[in-house]
Amino acid sequence: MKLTSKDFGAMKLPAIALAIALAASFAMVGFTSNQRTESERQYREQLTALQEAKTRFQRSGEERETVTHYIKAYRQLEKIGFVGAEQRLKWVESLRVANTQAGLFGVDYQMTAQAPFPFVTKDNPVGERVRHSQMKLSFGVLHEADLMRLFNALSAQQPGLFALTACSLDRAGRQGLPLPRQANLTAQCDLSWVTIDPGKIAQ
Amino acid sequence: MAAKLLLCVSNDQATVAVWRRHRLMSCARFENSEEGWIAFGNFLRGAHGLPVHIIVDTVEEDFRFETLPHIRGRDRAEMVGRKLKQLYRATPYYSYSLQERESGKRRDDRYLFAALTNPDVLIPWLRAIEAAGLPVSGIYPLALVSVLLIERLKLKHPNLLIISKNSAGLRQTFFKNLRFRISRLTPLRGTTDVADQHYADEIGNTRMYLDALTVTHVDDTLEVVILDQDGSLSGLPSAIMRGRPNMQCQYLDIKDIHSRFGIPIADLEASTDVLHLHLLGEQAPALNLAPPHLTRTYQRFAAGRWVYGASGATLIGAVIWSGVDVYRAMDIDQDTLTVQRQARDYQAKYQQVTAQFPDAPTTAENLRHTVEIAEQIRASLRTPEKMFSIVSHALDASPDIQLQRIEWHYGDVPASKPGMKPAQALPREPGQLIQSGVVFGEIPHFGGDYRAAMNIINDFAQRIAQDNAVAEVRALKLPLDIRSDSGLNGSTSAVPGKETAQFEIAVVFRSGA
Repeated sequence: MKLTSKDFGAMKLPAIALAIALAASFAMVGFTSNQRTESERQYREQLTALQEAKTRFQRSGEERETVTHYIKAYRQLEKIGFVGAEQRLKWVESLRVANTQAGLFGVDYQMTAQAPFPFVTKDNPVGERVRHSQMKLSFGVLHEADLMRLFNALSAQQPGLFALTACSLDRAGRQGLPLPRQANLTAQCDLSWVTIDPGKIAQ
Repeated sequence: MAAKLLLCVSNDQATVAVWRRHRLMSCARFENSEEGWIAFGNFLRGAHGLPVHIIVDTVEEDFRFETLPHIRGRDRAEMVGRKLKQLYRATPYYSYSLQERESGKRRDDRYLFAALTNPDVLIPWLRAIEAAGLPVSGIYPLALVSVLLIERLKLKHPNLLIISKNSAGLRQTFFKNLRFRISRLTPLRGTTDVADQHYADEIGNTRMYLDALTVTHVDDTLEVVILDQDGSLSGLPSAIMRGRPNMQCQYLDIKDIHSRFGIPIADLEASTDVLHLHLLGEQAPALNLAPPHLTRTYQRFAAGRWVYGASGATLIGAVIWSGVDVYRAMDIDQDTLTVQRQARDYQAKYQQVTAQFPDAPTTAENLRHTVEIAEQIRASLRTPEKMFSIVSHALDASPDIQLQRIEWHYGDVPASKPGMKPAQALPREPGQLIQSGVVFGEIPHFGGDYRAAMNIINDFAQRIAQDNAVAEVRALKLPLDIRSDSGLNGSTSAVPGKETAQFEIAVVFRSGA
């Protein structure tokens, strides 16, 4: 059977009706399906929130113990500058004082920009928030014991948490016995000033 | 079931009714005259969009059975088409129906060919229908519409003769083994009050004709079913039975028809064609005499209606789907509110409890993690003191050695110097920090005695290695490179007492030291 223009003409309105019905159906089903999916998502979210709230409430006793147990140590970390913004001024001042206390001949320092501290375990949730600034120190010492004397004096200032990562002592071509009141050795050390961002952990 | 217009056309008149919700409505009768056609046209104006199903009840009809070879598909259509054109040259209203396959060896097909031999009977009515723009669905011989009576009346006799008195006359339709075989119409023109005996004679003639055709045997019992809508055939059963013991009658008057078919008595009284119109309304026969050009409009109409139906079904399906979605979403929203309320309750209780906690700048977990990580960093802190101490002790026992430089490194990879591969010998966890270092020294004034110098250096290295914290000590550079895979040069004429034996030793500490 061949279709004629009359056949097509007769099917125009039904075809339009079908197209409208299909479009309306898709739109309707799409809209309500989205609504339902959104409702299901909200329900899942609320269910998770409920579980969290329930667990938090049930563990509030433990939480109280945790706060009581750790708050003092945390405050101390705040006090020494581990928790909070970098205190470079304090570090430099402490270094100057330590130099004087150790009786050295001056310390040259270079500090890099702050970067993530790599030497923390990944299983600690706040590990990624620990950052450090590397400081290169160059100074002359009378003998090798002066090196540790400097760092002990620095540590006693409680300027923050720092970690020594490299040190070298060099005779620098000097021969014979060390001379008194003179830098017989050249020391170079790398240390990391470690801090944790309180803005990110205070959630 | 969709509404439709049912029309029964005979030579003298046409009866029309609207079929809607399984009922006949607006039944009307029109004379086959100019006035009747005009009135019919006026009637059709009220039936806009309804498809028309037509019954033809006339003597100018033909039924015949033909046996043709068994073929299928287009070949069959072409063969049967040729045969029909041969048989019915003067009319476009013909069709066929495959009845059965014969049981003979050839297994030929047996066809019923049917035609309206005088198309003029339909012309005025079809013209009016065309003028009203109504689609013609089909044209059916009244005899074939009667086939539906077998099922409705649950008739089972192998020799069945159904008698009905329609507006065109007395219709006798014979069924052999419940299959249509022969139909005869005896017109009633001018015979408004014909005696029962006359009808009985007609039926007797039909019986003799059947016997003559050997369709029935003389001794076969013939079941005669009389459908008497207007009560004019009440005496016919006794007239038929009189003197004919091999014929039995089943008489259905207007009440029986009403109870069997559910047709209101008022409708049955309106016209004697109402029963067949009702049957056609319920189901159209398969054999349709209407030529394709006549039903083209109906096909378009039916296709359009199907598409509208599909559109409606799609919308209904979508509405149901959406309804289920909305209902489910509302249900879920209700659950969400309940869960939200419970969460708020727990949060409020938690707030009450935490109000009594010591003042803290962050959560308990953050407090713990921060303190723990600070402790971890502190625990991992190292100084070069240990290395200096070990080297110092070794130097005390090796006074010939003069230290030039000492390097210390603490990290997850040892201090890298050429030839220094301590990590191969020290399996350790990833990220674990270890101490390592390099000692640069010399033996001044060794007098060119490399063997003695090497012994001193080896003793020095062994002393360092004796410490428990040291994992490995390796010489990076010796005064004399005695390895076979490297070159060697020097001079035995060097000035004694001036040269120094320089060396470098790498020290790697144990993990955790």
